[in-house]
Amino acid sequence: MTATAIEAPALEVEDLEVNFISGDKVTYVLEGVSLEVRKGEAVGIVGESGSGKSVLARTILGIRPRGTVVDIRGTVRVSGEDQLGATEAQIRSRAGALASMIYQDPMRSLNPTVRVWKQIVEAITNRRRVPGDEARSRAVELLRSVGVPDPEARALAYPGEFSGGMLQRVGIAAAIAAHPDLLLADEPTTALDVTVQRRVLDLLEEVRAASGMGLVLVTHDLGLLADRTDRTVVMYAGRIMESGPTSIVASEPAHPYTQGLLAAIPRLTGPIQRELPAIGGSLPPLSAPRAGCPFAARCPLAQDRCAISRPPAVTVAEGHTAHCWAVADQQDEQEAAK
Amino acid sequence: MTEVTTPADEAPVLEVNDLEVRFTSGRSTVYAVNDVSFTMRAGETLALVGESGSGKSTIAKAVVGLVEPASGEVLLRGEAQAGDRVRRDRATRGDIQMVFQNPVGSLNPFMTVEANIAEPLRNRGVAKAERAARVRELLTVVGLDADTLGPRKPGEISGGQAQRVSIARALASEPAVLIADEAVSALDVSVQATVLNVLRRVVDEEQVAMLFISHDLAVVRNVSDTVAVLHMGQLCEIGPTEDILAAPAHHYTAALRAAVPEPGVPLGDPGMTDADPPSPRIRPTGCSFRDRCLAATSRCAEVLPPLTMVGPERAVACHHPLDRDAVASAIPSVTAQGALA
Repeated sequence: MTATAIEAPALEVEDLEVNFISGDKVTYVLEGVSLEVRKGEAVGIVGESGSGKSVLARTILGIRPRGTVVDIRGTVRVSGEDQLGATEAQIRSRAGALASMIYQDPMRSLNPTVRVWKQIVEAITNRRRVPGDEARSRAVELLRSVGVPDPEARALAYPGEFSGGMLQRVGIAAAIAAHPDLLLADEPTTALDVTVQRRVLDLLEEVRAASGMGLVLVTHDLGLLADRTDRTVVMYAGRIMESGPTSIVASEPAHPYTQGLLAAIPRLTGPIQRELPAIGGSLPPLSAPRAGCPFAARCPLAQDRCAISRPPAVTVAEGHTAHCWAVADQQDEQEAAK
Repeated sequence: MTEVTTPADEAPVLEVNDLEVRFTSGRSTVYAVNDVSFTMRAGETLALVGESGSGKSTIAKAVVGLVEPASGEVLLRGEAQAGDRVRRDRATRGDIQMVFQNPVGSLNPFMTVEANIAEPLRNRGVAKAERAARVRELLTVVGLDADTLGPRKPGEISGGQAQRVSIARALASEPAVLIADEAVSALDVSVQATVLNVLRRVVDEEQVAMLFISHDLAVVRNVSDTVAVLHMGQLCEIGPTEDILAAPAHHYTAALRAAVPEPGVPLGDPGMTDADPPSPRIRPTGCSFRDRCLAATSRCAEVLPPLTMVGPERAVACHHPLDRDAVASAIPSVTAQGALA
């Protein structure tokens, strides 16, 4: 998949820094995050709690936490349009058209007292006047496209009348209503049973393939991205640790953090592990900027400089990058051997 | 402790016989647990798996006495337990302990970690001097440093540490049965591994029987000896974990297994229809999985499949059980390089 030279990527994030300031306390949430998603491409962002993955998704959409001053530096462009310099009014007017989001808990992202069809077409009706009949038939069409049975009747139902999986389909219908260039899904299946999860992810894939939009799938579950995204970005403590083709990151990760994460996942295949290889230690405090590599204190390969000096982005292979001193050394050794 | 094996030692610690639980509100009744039986022995882990609404947590609540069964019985060391917790004998109340999903919420936020663990000891009348020593011991069992973590409050420690504190607190009552209800579901994978290792060790070293409730089959595979698969309150299949996951006999187990995403392993055939399960508000007839099952026949709707032995220690409730040898070979495995084909 190569984007044409003229067409802007669905998403460009360059050197993004996000700090939350409340009173005299500063939380350093994102540090130097860069990322690109082309149209028609699916990218997974994987990370544990505190990795900043959800803040990244929200910053891309222009959602700011309430009651907190947010200090943002860097660039975020969706289809070439600046998201950070945009006023709130501009962001609202674009909401759902340029980029839209599918949330973890559809029950909380939808209004329980409003019939679903009205919420599905909100991204359209917010922008221009649409006759009621037309809006409703558009909602029915969308419900049909996301596989909700009996869409004419279900369009009139309230969110509480749907099962979790069906409601997430409603959430997807609402997110794609205005044909966004970029669709962000933040843990879209975490609240669902595995059997339902699979169908919802299949649907997201279909929707992306049909529309040619860029898809960002944010998750804590590395296993879920296999076969689902072209590339995977691994985040830890507000930084990108590794990024590359999903199949490579999930099978031959270069970064010690990704390796540890992968080893700690209990498996359904292979030998049973009576003792799972855990990653000792915990996340560094986000109340200070991270000097060096944020994973250094937990890393089996850490050297002195890891705690002080920020690791470079090392190209492991075409399109596969790891931010790690140990990986850098390995590369140097290989170069020297040649 | 001297190792003298008497017949009493081999008797199950916990027996659940023909358990039925219903929730009634107004004219509507939810048939939450339908005729479920299993036994547990000391030093063994039994996992209850199933989707939401399968009744796994309700079974746990009935075992502890938080819900009253409509029928059936819970036996602890051969003795019938009163249905509700209030009526339970004070002496046996600490014998079954629970660890919940949200570790911080299940500890007292105003008390230190030490005080949280000491509380059940005090309730059992353990002398003050002995309590402090026992608290240290319990913190060591769960792999936490008593000096640094003991004086802290639950809000000042991480989620994984808090979950280990709740395990220590549960162990303070010296329970015969430990129930872990989605105890690692809210934790990050890197932390989850530590807590699972602690639970395993506790079962081995303290010889408790653990009832491990989880929606995650991969976790269950690495932690339990026996697995019971539940669908809509019905027991589908029960037996040794590794056997069942390697070659499910029930179509639901196979479908559940096929849906678990695993890094580097392609997803298998879904093995089920897109239908929703029947309403739990209708008195169940036949197999509850039939509408989602690819092998269902009219008999499945009419006759409840009885739990039938299909191997040593294995039983399945299905009129058309899977050919287990065929299934085992169809399950995808990691390729030599561990990469996707």
